[in-house]
Amino acid sequence: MTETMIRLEGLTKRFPGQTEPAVEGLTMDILEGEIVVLVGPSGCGKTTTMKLINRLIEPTSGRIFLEGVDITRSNPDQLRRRIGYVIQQIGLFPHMTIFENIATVPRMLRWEEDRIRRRVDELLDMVGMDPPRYRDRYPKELSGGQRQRVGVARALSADPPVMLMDEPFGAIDPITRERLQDEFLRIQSEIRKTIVFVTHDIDEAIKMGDRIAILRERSQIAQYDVPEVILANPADEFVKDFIGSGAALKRLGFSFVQDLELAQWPTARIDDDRDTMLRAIRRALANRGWLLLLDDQRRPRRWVTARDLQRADTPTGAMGQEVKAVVPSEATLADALNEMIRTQSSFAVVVDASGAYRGTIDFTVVTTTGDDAAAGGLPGQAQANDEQAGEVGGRSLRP
Amino acid sequence: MPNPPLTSHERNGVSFWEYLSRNWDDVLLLTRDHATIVAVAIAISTAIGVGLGILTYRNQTARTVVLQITGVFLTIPSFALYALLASVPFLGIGGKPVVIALTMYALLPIIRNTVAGLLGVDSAIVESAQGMGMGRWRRLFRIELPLAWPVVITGIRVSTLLIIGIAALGAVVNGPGLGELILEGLNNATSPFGLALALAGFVGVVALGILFDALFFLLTPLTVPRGIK
Amino acid sequence: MTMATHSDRPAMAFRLGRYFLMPAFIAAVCASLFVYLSQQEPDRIVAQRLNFDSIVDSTLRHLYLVGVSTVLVIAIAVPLGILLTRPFARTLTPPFVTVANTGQAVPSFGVIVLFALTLGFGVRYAIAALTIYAFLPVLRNTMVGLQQVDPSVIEAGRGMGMSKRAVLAKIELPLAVPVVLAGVRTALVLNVGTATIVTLTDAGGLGDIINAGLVTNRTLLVVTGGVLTAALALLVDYIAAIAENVLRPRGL
Repeated sequence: MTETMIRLEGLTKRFPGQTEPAVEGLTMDILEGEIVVLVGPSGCGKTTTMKLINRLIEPTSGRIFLEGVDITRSNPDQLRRRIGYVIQQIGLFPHMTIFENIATVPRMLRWEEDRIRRRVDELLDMVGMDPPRYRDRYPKELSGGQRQRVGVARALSADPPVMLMDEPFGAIDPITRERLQDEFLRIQSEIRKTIVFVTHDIDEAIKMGDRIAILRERSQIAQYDVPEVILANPADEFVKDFIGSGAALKRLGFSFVQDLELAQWPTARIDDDRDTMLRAIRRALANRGWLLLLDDQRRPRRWVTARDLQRADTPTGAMGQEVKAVVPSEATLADALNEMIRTQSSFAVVVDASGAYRGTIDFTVVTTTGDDAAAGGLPGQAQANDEQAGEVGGRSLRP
Repeated sequence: MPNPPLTSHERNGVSFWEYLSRNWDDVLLLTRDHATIVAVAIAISTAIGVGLGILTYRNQTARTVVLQITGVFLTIPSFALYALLASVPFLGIGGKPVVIALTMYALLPIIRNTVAGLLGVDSAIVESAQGMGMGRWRRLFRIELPLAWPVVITGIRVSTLLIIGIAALGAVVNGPGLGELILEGLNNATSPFGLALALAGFVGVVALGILFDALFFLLTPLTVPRGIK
Repeated sequence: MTMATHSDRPAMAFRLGRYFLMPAFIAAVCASLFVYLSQQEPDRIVAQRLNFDSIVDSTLRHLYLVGVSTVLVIAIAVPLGILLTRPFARTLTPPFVTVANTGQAVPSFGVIVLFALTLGFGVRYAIAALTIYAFLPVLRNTMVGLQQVDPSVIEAGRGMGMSKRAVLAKIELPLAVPVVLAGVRTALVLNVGTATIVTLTDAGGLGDIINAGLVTNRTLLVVTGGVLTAALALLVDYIAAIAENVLRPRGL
């Protein structure tokens, strides 16, 4: 049973001179070890909400609990030493070395120098930067991506239970950003911190979040749930609009090929003689006319028909068609769809970790997964595909 | 032109305002002299300074040398420079050493701002002018200088304010301007009249400073090309 | 920072050589002056002023005037600058900066004389005048220096749990040091110049020599005083520039 790490109760923030409060009556529980993403349009108050947690902005009313303790009125400086804080512009201290930057909070907490030194090296390793090389450098000597890694290391330095991250990868180019996101998720899988993450990018939210809170103006929660549920069942028009038109495609990222029922085809070895192959086709239960040739490691190589086999002049290696679309069983449906589009096929061969044949899936499975699959889909769709039965490679293939 | 000596009766018990009301025409004359010598120095300094800036802005060594030398000028105490220049035989005391000294002082801010302004022009603009076939001098006068002008004129403004104050000391080598009043005030230190004189001189210089500043404030938008304001 | 490559070496040598250029220049000028003087036949008036003891006295007095007034300026203007840039005083900042800018036209001569006429002649009031005159540049630079500190660095510091005082001492001030030092350097040079004038208000200094020369019409005195004063100003500026580089926090 995971504990509630942070609890916000009726949190309200009214800025002087503004008619509407920035945050109104927000109540929310953040569970231990989860990344909770606050996402919403600009001006909805997500950054303000995050800053209320470490009291960089003081709430007008309401209460904040950290690990069950009411911290609404406790000493803010001491509080913040227990919470890691990463911002978009990073904010590394330019006049201090990387070491001194990371050592800031431990020094404030009066750790012994030895322990600090070990911790800094450990953290630099964790974020993928070689400690002897980077310890004594200055921020101005580092690239944007490196600086942000140091920023994350600095936030983790005193091993705080909670981290607040405000668009931490926003100021970085998309390629580096993706790499940093992946690395951060890898680090999080090892250290399991409780993280409150603010972004305006719904795709980043879906990628990074264990749970997503979609906020509308005044930080009102439109929906607070795991990404799959939000994508499958958006609570209202606002959420639906916010997710955007690609929601259905995004959902495919949450389903895996190995969870589907794979179609099976007659197979033979590529170095078998033709008679064996012909017999295999004829023996197949529903004569669909295609044979899949596998090599000696059971990897799919070519598709052949009976007619291809009867043509004696072509060698086995050139018969029929080459297998083009191959997808590992751990892949998501999004990956499978991508592969099909790439090879201009309407189906793909599914293989296991060693590349050996497991079955096939086709394009229609993408439109009939999830809840629809249980209901069997609309009859009309299945019929339309039936008309094009029996063709491979660029046209639909129905079992 | 020195005032006729005042009687001892007139000297004692003269307050600042009384002095001003009685001698405002003299004060005005001195102010005019002060303004004139500043204007002359700035004119010469701008001509030389902008010229040097144009000649050296592309060459790192040249501009470092020029900036260092004019920086040295500005470091030399004005009393020393006035006195040294006044000792030069064909200069003597009076207005000449003051004008030369003021010109020397005004050079650094003007050159520095000219260089900064020219270097600050977006290189894409210069490149497209070059690509159009504009020769170097036309580019300079039609494109680079107009775009650099706001920065250049700020340098001229800084220099002007700078030397308005320095010009006051010129009185110690018989230079013209409101410094004369301050010096007179010093010579009459024993009576309240002296304070009135010094104060008149001081206020006059500060007022002149504000006036010139306002003048630049008005002049700048008029000379900056429309479109980059 | 990468190691210096072959092609960097002449540039580096040039840069190091530059450090010696100014003192070499000053030394050369003083040497020439010395040579020139030793060839002269001083008359009684000149000899009275131009002996070793008298020159050293004037120089020491000059340094005393500059030193004390600069220390006073720093002691008053820097804390005031810090105060004026704190959040509670934000509204006061713009008018101060405007005044500081127009204040450039204030004549140092006028300030010295007015102080002397209202308070009195002598060293003490001269120092007061010097302090007031050099006040604005240091105040303005302190304010500008603190204002130009990147706000996200301050936010990161506060977000980590640094107290306001810790942020000021460990982040804002160190990052403002280069600009503040530039202001102090300006003040020092300004003071050397203004201290030349206080001879007129009985406060001594190297201006004594120049003034003696003007009054008695002895070019020799004027030249000596003028060159020595200029040399001192250049030397002080040079040392201040070195201090600026040495005291600047690494990484900036």
